[in-house]
Amino acid sequence: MKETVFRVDGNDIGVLNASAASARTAVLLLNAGAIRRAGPFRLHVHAARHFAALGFPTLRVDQPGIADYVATARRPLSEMLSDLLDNLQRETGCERFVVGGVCSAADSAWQLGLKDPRVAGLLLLDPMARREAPGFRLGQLQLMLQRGPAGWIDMLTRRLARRSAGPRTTDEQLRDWPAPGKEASQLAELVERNVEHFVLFTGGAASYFTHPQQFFAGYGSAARSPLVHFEYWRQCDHLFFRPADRERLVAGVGHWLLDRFGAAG
Amino acid sequence: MSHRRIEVLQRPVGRGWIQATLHHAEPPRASLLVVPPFFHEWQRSYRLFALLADALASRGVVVLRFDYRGCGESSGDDADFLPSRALDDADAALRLLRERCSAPPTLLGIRGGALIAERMAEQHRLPWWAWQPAEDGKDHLESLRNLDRKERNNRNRFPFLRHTQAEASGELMGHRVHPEFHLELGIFRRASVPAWRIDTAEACEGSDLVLPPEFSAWPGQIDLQGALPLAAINNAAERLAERLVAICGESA
Repeated sequence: MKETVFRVDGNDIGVLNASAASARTAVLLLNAGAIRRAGPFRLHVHAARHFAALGFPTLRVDQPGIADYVATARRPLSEMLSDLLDNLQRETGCERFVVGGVCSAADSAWQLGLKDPRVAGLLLLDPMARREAPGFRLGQLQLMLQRGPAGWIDMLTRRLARRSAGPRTTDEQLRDWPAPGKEASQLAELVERNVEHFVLFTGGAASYFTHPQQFFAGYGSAARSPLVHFEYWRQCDHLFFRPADRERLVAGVGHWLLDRFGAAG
Repeated sequence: MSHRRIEVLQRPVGRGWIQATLHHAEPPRASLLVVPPFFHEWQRSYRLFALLADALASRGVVVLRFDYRGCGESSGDDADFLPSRALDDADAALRLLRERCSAPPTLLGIRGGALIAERMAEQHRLPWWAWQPAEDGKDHLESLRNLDRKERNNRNRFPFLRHTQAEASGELMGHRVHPEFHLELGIFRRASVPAWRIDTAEACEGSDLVLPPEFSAWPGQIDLQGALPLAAINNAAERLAERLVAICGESA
């Protein structure tokens, strides 16, 4: 397996993992929030090496303003990411792409998927969800009951501490989400285009996602499509801190890639 | 802050390789090897030191940053990382820097990296600086283990946690570790004083460089917090560059 520096316009912005026998689909992993392209606790490094060994060339990149990409963006992100797919296509010969990552990377992948027909799959780890959707309050109640009295005191203490710290930025304010309610029609559009989805929410996203019903209600009937693979890992955190969680994720996505996009020819 | 060209390089070491990032400077007036901290600390501080390296490069300092094997983007599984191997990795990075830049290098050991930088400096007779350094491998290990226990039971991180989580054998701060990691780190002890210390006001004395809180609070954090301290990064780069250029002047 080769692991080579990926250069665009003279800038070293990423690392491409590829094996001799490559599938027709390549994977693009975007920065998880502001974490370098290696991924949280090397998640992207291990994922890229595993996916490449399965035959899927995998590129992990720094986006403008993050980690080694010192300069900030001078044009819209989706435009830059489409250009990146052009480069990846030239480099690998692949014409279809799975794009994704954790948190804001999932949001960027979603936007790119809607705009670029070459996106054939989305890897959405803690993507968008609405607190207003059915299921959130139920999940919160379950969380509270599970914790018991000691947990209630802990929750109350932290809530009071947050309140005294002033107004808190919500996930919706921090992230690039479509207008409320639009996600259902957007998912229907992507499913209509045969885009495959690997959707995983973790317990670490409890500030805005606490119950699977939120996903199925919020994203509409297309969420039940066979093209949408959904999982909810309550005991896992947002950054996949525990090695076993990362290993399970990498193996799971690897199986999904093989199942949905086929092995190398 | 200007944006100089950076180059990503790979260099074989043992059965694997290290990945390094070289910040070019034109003309090169000095050079600096950044010896990184361990585990989450490098992940958390990565952008800070990328920006510092860029700011130094704009002042004529060639900077090389790298990942130890088993860390970041270098080869290997997490458990491949060992302090004894880190010495070989830093050695390979130093050779790489010397091949690319004729200006005499200075070593900058960050946190646990100071334990590595000190030994390198002694071996190669080079000046070394310490950035919020770990003073002793055993104490550093203990602080990492304490933080690990805290994070495993952090309800902000794991809201649905049911029971108290014990320390996991073979894991430390989100990484699988080599069976001999604890033993090895425990025997690393600082025996000399760095030529310059860059640290918090409480830890500094004399001519040490005092960091403002916004540029020194990151050890112990896992999640990125707050805005990037751009002014503090530029100020630190100014002071570091002055000293590095002076060192090169003395050795010329």
